[in-house]
This record gives sequence, structure tokens and C-alpha cells, in this order.
Amino acid sequence: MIMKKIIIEITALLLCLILIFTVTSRIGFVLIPERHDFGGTWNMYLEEPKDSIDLMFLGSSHAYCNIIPASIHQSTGISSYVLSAPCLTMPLAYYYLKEGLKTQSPKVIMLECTAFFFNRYMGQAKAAIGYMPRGYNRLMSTLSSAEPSERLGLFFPLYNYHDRWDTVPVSSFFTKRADQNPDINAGYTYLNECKAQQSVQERVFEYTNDDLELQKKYLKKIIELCKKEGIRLEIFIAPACLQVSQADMKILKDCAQDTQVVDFNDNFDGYGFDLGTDFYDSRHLNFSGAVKFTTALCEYVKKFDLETKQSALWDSRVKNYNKLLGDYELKN
Amino acid sequence: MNFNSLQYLLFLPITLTLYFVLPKKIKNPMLLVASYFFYACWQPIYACLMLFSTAVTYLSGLLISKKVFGKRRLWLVLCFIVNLAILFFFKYFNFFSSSAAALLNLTCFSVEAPKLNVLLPVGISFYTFQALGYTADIYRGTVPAEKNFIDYALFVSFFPQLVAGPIERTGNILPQLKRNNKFSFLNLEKGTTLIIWGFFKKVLIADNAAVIVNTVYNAPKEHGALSLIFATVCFALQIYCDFSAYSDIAKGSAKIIGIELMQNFDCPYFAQSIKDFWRRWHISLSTWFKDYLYFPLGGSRKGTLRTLINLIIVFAVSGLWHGAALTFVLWGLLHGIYQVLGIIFMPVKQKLYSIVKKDSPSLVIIRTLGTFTLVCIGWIVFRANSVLDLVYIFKTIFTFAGITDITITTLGLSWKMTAVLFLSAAAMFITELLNRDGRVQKLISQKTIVRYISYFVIIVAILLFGYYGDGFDMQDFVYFQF
Repeated sequence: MIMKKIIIEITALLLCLILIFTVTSRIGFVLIPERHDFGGTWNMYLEEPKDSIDLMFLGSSHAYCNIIPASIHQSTGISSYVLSAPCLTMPLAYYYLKEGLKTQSPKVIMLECTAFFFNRYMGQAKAAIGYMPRGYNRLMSTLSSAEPSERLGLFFPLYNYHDRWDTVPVSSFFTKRADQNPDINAGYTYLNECKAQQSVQERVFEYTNDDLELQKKYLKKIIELCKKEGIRLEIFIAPACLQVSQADMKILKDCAQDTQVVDFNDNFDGYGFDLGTDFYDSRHLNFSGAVKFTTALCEYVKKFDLETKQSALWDSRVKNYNKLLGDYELKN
Repeated sequence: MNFNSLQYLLFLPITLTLYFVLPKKIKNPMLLVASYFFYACWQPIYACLMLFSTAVTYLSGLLISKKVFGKRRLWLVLCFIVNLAILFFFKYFNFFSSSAAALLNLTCFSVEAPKLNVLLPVGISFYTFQALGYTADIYRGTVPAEKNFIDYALFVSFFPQLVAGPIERTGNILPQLKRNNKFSFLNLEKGTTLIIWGFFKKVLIADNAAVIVNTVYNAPKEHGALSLIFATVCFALQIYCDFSAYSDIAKGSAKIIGIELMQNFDCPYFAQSIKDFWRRWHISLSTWFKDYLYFPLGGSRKGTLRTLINLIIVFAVSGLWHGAALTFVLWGLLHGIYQVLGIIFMPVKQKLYSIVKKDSPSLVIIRTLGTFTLVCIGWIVFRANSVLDLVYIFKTIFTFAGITDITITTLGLSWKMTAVLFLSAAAMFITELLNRDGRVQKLISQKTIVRYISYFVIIVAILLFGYYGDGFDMQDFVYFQF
């Protein structure tokens, strides 16, 4: 009799806990603000047709501000995507890659590595991890890259967003989120503002030895993972007015060993940048600059010999890109 | 360590597990260490102060019971002097020194009040009164002196009720602490229910109500009469839900161990007179004052006038117990005056009852609403940040200044959240009213499905509507400051 009661109680308790977890997870998912750009756009990434991406750009804002996949597709027919997050350090990039490979099988990955020199905690965990699908990779991203004070909110999103309940209509609990559609920009973030730059300078990073060791460890893990998966990996630094120093580049190249490392700043003058009009700030290109850099990048990626793919989705992306181009030229 | 913290959610199961797996001999020492750890999480140094106070009262208890040097009263008085001196030093010195200086300044003397820069030890009023109650009980011979220092120290510092009561009696707690409490599923279930209920009242109702209260009471001059009245009703909600939530969590935590703490609240806002209110509000403090101050003063045995004076004294001291500020003393005095007027007008009341049936629903409603209004007037005095604010608030409310000037959404909560707050409060009051005879608890205990559905609804409500998380300042329990 007592045993029967204990079994009933334990079963009821477990059911209650599962129900609480399920319901609050669903509510938490609905209450997280929609995210359409500036990286961490996992809901949109997961809407990409399975195994449709051949070239994946992985990186921080230096990737999502500077690379326009629609432009690459228009010029080369290659299907590419920018899987990124603000301040995507190497530990985060590793778990992003592992998670990203669950739905896509890119032939080539180009890893933008400016964030190799960032600190472990950059105060962007909520945006970078908060939209990742639940599971081991999200858990490890949280433990490796979120400040302790931010972890609870990442384990349990209601902690961060429960007070938004009165801003969200009840119908959203039963419908798809607006950011659960394929990204029309394929991971690129459109920036039309402009801040004129005076000159090109060396960027000074303030990383600690511990931070750098952690970054090296995870860069090596990324390299190993790509080898294991048979993916060609290239490491690169995107162009900016504040550029990675030669000393820092050496650290990166030493860590990358036999993996190709390209500093696109080496050809900075070759892209035809106008310091007065092509920069969003000293670290990022705006749309005009991104168009110029991506044009150069198109030539670069041709060497990968990736197959060309056509689809309605890519047609609409190219169309949207040309519209942005037209609007931007009209405006300026 | 706050009850509404993650640390407590870890601390409690660990302590409970250790308690039940350890042999009887080590149970109480372990609980004592856990209780001191619980207290030291706030201010480690003040744990020493509590230990000192414990040692003094323990020793006094032995000296009184053994009539050392043939004296009993001497040890009792000494014990009271030492403990009340500590309380005075930490809690009241600055208040009395600034009040004295202000008085002297009024009489042409220019005096600067000396100020002590010390933090108020959390819960000092609670454990001091509990320990003093123990020595008074020994003096009266109602309980024997406790010889085991560990058990006695645990009685003073028992973590569930350490910092905000209930102020327990020796006869209730010490025997329960001394017995070999074993794990009981029923205790776990009842305790858990009380804890979840406490969190519901604290995190969902009290802390959300506090947003409105703080918005209005921290800037009363920016608000009209209706806003002030609305905020006062919210404060009535806040202070009840905050304080009774602490008692519920304390009772629940102790219940799981197998220890029954005394009831501290009994639907006080359904009282039909102020006298009735004080039988239902902070019962452990009211009975403490009745037993250890009102009765020694003579209670109602020395004539009507003396009874009235005793009531005023008890309530003024009760007000002062709450905090070292004139507003608290005034609040106590106001309740004393309410009681005095209740006695004076008793013949009129009796006459009225001979005309109108005492238990008629309309009279019950009128009496309940009237009592609630008087209590709310008291809460204005209690909550006002200063006497000047208090005067302004009363003036605004009673002259109906800016009576139409209220927009709920400018008081800190959205209208939807305000609606949820009041719906939750209504659900809470109805549940507690129905549970006066224990029927809700019985239903929850007997029907597993009802229990778990209740847990589910309450926990989801707390997680969705509660005042917690990123961007929220976790609110301390109001009574911690006392």
C-alpha cells in the first residue's frame, strides 16, 4: 500500500515537473524577442532547406556585416550563408558549428577570426546563445562563454523574458514566430549608415593569456571537427580600418598550423574602399563597403569549385539584394 | 540568505537530507551549524552577537532556575537589561539621540546628535524577543531551564523562523527540537505546499504590489488622492503577502523537518474589529506582548482607566518594536487609540447589536470593510517615508485633492499586470478564507491530482507573472528590517 502510494506520488511529481518544463519552455520560446539580424538568428537558420548550403561563413559581426551571400550567389551561383553571432569567440564558434552541422553539410567553411583576440566574456551571451536550439551545444556554449550572472537566464529563458507576457498576443502561442522563416539576407545584416574614417590603424586587443589559451584550444577543436567531417576550412580576417596587427596574425597563424589563414586587409587598397562612405564604423563595413568586399570575395571563393544551385529562395534573395543595391545607390 | 533566493533552494534540501540521514545525536548540532550558516550569509560578524545573546539568556535561565545567591528576579532583570541594551544600541540609539537633539534644539540649546555608524543586525528584534520570552517563562516557572546549550542555541537560531519569526515559545519549540524527528511523507507534502504558497504570495503578489507602493509613496507629492488610496490598498496587500509569505515558508520548511511552528496570521483583513484584527495579525508578536508586557502591567485587572493606559503603552511599544522611527510609534499609538475607542464605545456597539442582528451579512460586510479602512489608515502611517510625507498624504486624501488624477499605468505596472495582481490576490484571499478550517489543505493532501494541478498552476503563475529575473531588483522581505 505504502509502495503503491510512493509510486503514484513519484509519477505525479515527475509528470508535474515535465509539464512545468514543457509549458514554461514553450512560453519562454514565444516571449524571447524576435531576432532578424545582427547574428544569433538561429530560428531563421533552421528554416534553411536541409543540406542546401555549400559555403558557410562563420564568425562575429565582422562576418555578418561584411559578407553578402546573395551577392555571391548572383556572381557565382554558390549557396552560402553567414552563421554568426555578436562577438562569436572560438568556443562559441565551435558549438555553433556543431549545432549548424546538424541541418547543413557545407563543403567549405570560412571562419572569420577577428574574435580570436576577444576576451572570453564580451557581454553578448544573451544574443549569441539565447537563440540557440536547446541541447548539449547550447549548454556548453553557456558554460564556456556566458558570464556566471547570465547563465540562469540562458538555461531558463523565462528568467530573462517573463515580463514580456503582456506585450505578446495570446495567438503567438499557437502560431509560428515571424523569425521562423528563411533569412532573406542569408545571415547578412544590412547597414546603410556611414561613419567616415580618417585612416587605417592597428587594433589593440586586451586579451589575457587565459583567454587566448581558451581561444587556441577551441580553434584547434574547430580544425579537428572540420577534418573529421571532411569539410575544407579556411580562416580569414575581414577588412576593417582597425586591423589586426602582424604580431597577432602570427599568433593566429601559429595556432592554425597547416590551415589556410588569409588576412583580407593585406589587399585593403585593392577593394576600392572609400574611407568616407564605405564604413559603418572603424571595425565594420556598411552596405556599400560590404558590396565591394563581397565582389572581391566572389573571385576568391570560385577556387573552391562549388556547384551552382538555383532555387526560388535564392532568386528572392538575389532580387532583394538588387533592390537594396538600387535603394542604396538612389539614396546616395 | 533570503528565502526567495536560489541559495535557499539549494540550502534547504541539503540541510533536510543531512538532518534525516544523520543519527539523532548529531541532528541538532548539524541544524545549529546550518542555522548559523544561514544567518552568517548576511552578516557573519553578527552571528557572534546572536551567540552572545544566546549565551546570556542560557546562563540567565540556569541562574534563575537555580536561584543562585537566592535571587531570581535579579538574574531576570540583568538578562533583560543586557539584551535590551544590545537591541537599543543597534536599533534605537540613533533614533533616540536624534529625537533628543531635536527636542533640545527646540529649547534654545544647539546640540548635534551623536550618530552610530552600525548596520542593524537582521532579525535582532525577533531572536531577542524569543530569547527574552524564554527567560521570562523560566522565571514564571512555566518551563524548566534548558541544560543542553546546543538545543537551546538551536531554539534561538532555528533557521526557518530566525530572521522574521514567528516569535516562538519555549514550550512549543524546544520539546519538538529535542525529539527524534523522522522523515514523513505527509510532512514533506504539507511543508512543500506551504513553501510554494509562500512563494506565490511573495514573488507574485507582494513584490508586484511593491512596485506601485514604491512609485507612489517615494514621491507622494506627484500623486493625487485616488493614487494614494490605491497605493495604500496595494501596501495592505504587499505587507500582508510579504510577511505572511515569510511565515508560510518558515512553517513549511520547519514542517518538513517535523516541527510545527505557531500560526502567525489568520485572514486578518477579514477581521470585524481592530481587536479581532490583532488576534489575526502577527499573532506571535501580539501574544508575546500580551503575555510579557500587557499582563505584567496589570492587563485589564486594575480598572478601566489602567486597562486603557496599558493598551496604549503596549501598542506604542509594539510600534517601536517595528522600527526606530516616529512613524512606527505613531502607527502603534494609532492602533492603541483604536482599541481604547473600541472599549469606550462598547456600550454603543452592544446597543446597536440589540437592534441589528450581529451576524447579519450586511453588518458583517460593513464591519469588515470598516476595520479594513481603519487598518489602511494605519498602514499610511506605517509606510510613509517621514512625518512630513505622512501629513501631506493625509491632507491630500482627506481633502480629496486630485481625486480624479489617476492613471494606473503610470504607477509602475501595466494595466494587465495590475489586473493579474488583483486577480491573484482575490484567489489568495478566497483560498485562505476557505482554508481557515483546513479544508483546502485536506483536499490537497487527499487528492494527489488536485495537489499536483495546484502546484503546476501556482508555479507556472509565479514563473510567468512573478517579480524576479533579469532587470528586477530582488525584494527583501519587509520584516527583515525589524
